Formats: sequence, C-alpha cells, structure tokens
Amino acid sequence: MLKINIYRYNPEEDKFPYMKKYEIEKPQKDIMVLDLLHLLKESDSSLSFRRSCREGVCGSDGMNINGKNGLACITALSEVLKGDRIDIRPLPGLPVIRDLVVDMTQFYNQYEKIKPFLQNDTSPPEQERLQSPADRDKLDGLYECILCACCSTSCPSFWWNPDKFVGPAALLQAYRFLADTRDLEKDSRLDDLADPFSVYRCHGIMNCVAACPKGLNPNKAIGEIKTMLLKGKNSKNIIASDGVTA
Amino acid sequence: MGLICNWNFHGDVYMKGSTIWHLQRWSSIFILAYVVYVVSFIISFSPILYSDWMIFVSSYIFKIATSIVFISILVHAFLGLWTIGTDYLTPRTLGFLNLALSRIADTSRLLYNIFFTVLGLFLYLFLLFLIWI
Repeated sequence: MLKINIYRYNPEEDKFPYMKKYEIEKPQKDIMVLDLLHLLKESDSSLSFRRSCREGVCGSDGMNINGKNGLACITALSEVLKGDRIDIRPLPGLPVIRDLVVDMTQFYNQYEKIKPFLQNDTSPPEQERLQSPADRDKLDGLYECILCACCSTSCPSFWWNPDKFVGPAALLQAYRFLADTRDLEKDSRLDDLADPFSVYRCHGIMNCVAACPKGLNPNKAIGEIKTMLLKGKNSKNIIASDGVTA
Repeated sequence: MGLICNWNFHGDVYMKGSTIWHLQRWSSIFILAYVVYVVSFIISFSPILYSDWMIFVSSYIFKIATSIVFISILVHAFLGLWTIGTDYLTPRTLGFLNLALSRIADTSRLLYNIFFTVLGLFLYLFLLFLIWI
C-alpha cells in the first residue's frame, strides 16, 4: 500500500491546516505525482490543486513533494518515494488559498517589478530587431523559465522578505533583459536593483538551482547581476545596446 | 554620511547593496590580514617570551592596526547582525510564531539594532582604553 499525506486546508471549514492520510494500492507502473493526485481526487473530490498542461510547460502544478519543490506532472513517483510514503504540501512561504493552491500575488508582484519586457524606444525596423547568433546565445538558460515559483518558494530570503527580495525567478528574468542586446534600459534596470534587498539578499545557497524543474541556474544569473552592479553603470561587462561589449 | 548610508526609524541601514557587499568583503580581508600579522609574529618568535610579546603589543604598528581592524570587525559584525534582524525580526517572520509578536516586531528590531550598536561602541572604547592607555 502507498501511504500518502496531503496538506489540507479549507478556510471556510478548517480552523487550522492539517495533514490528511490516504492509502491506495501501489500502482503497477511508475506514474507521475499529478496522476497520483488525480487518483486521490476520484475518491475525495474536495482535494484541490492546480494543473493545466500536465507536461511541465505551464508551471501551474508546482508543489512541495517529500520536502522538495517540483512540478507534480513531471515528477515520477519512483523519484520521490521514501519507502512507501509520500508527503505533499503546497509551495512554502506563500499564503494558502485552499489545500495545495497558493496565492501567487507576491511572486507576480516581484516579477512585475523587474519590468519583464523589452525596452527599446528606437523606431522599430520593418521586420524585427535582429541579433547576432552569439548575442542570441546569451539568452539561453534564461528565457526558458515557466514561472512555476518552485525556485523562489524554496529560497529562505524570499520566505522572510517576499516584498523586498525580488526572488530567483524574477532575477533570472531581470538578467534575461540585462543580457539582451536589444534592450536599452540597462542603467535604469540596474538602478531598480541597487538597494540592499532586491538582489543582495541572495546569499547563494542555491536552493533555487536544486528546485528548478527546468534545470535552469538562477544563482548564476544573480551572480551576473551582482557583478554588473559592483562594476557600476557603463562598465565593461554591461553589454552595449548595439550588441558589442562596451 | 547621508550620501553613503541612511538609517530609518527602526535602526535599519539603507546603503546600496554593492556598498554593503564591499564593506563585508574588505572588512574580512582586513581581519584576515591582521590574523596573518599576529600569527606570523607568534610563529616567528616561538617559543614566545613575555618580553617579546610586550614589545610587540606596545608597538605603534600593532596599536594602529588593532584599532583599525577592530572597526572592521564591528562593521562586519553589525552588517551580519542587521541582516539577521531584517530576516527574523519582522512583522511577517514573527507573525508566523504569534500575531502579538508581529505587532512589536519593528520595535524589537529597533532595540536589537540599538543594543548591538551600543555594545559595539562600548567594546571599541574598551579596546582603545586597553591598548592605548
């Protein structure tokens, strides 16, 4: 038998959250954690969780599985089982709306703060703003983020200061635009991150790297932003808008 | 001073993050250099005699180096403690334990910052008294 403990909380009925125990027959073949949740929902329709694409693209089923954040749809049961037991909790640090569903407002507020869009007020060319293949390569490992929040919610600095520390997911995206040769607002982007909390509250413990289900490295991006901030504006490591390193 | 850093009502430091980064790294480099300076003296004069030690600690180089390095220790320690305070003595973090604690979090952090600032200044004055007077 498979022993499953799931964090349950319905604010309309429960005074406090609790862990509910379930037991089901161990599946014959290896299934994903999301499939397991669907099996449980067949017997307990009150169980709430987010899901959408079920193939690790939409990022909606981020949760804490046996102590590690990950996407339920691409986490195989065999990867996370401890004996016959599995504990599933919502993403840590964010307010719980119900069961495994968390309120992502703080996470999205930080994402909004870094202005996640290309800023270039020059007149656009007829077709598109071109980049050299080498400049385009600088965006690899940055643009692939699906904003599942597994990294930010595994970061203690984000738990303690979610209103001040931007968090690994948003900082990865901040560097995605700082590294983009078509973006012309590098100085103002760096100004927005210069305070003691936004970037520098990262102490490099690399929980974000361990948690990222897409295998990205927010810690490396944060290191690059810190280097840019330490060297100051218009320094050599800031990539000039024409695509040539200044 | 306001150009370099500011303090708010709760005694929190508001400097540029890069300024704090530099202060922490440079202060630790000074502390390391001082440790190397003292340890190399102890090793080179080993087995060390009381008279050797007295000559060493009476020298102006030692007194000036100690006075400067102690400032580095204070800066390094204060920034570390300030980081801990802004992580754990906040309405959010204390609110996880108890809502009443959450309401006094900012005052607690102010007292925490004042306590360690006064303690640091007291220790520095005590050190100056020990080595110069």
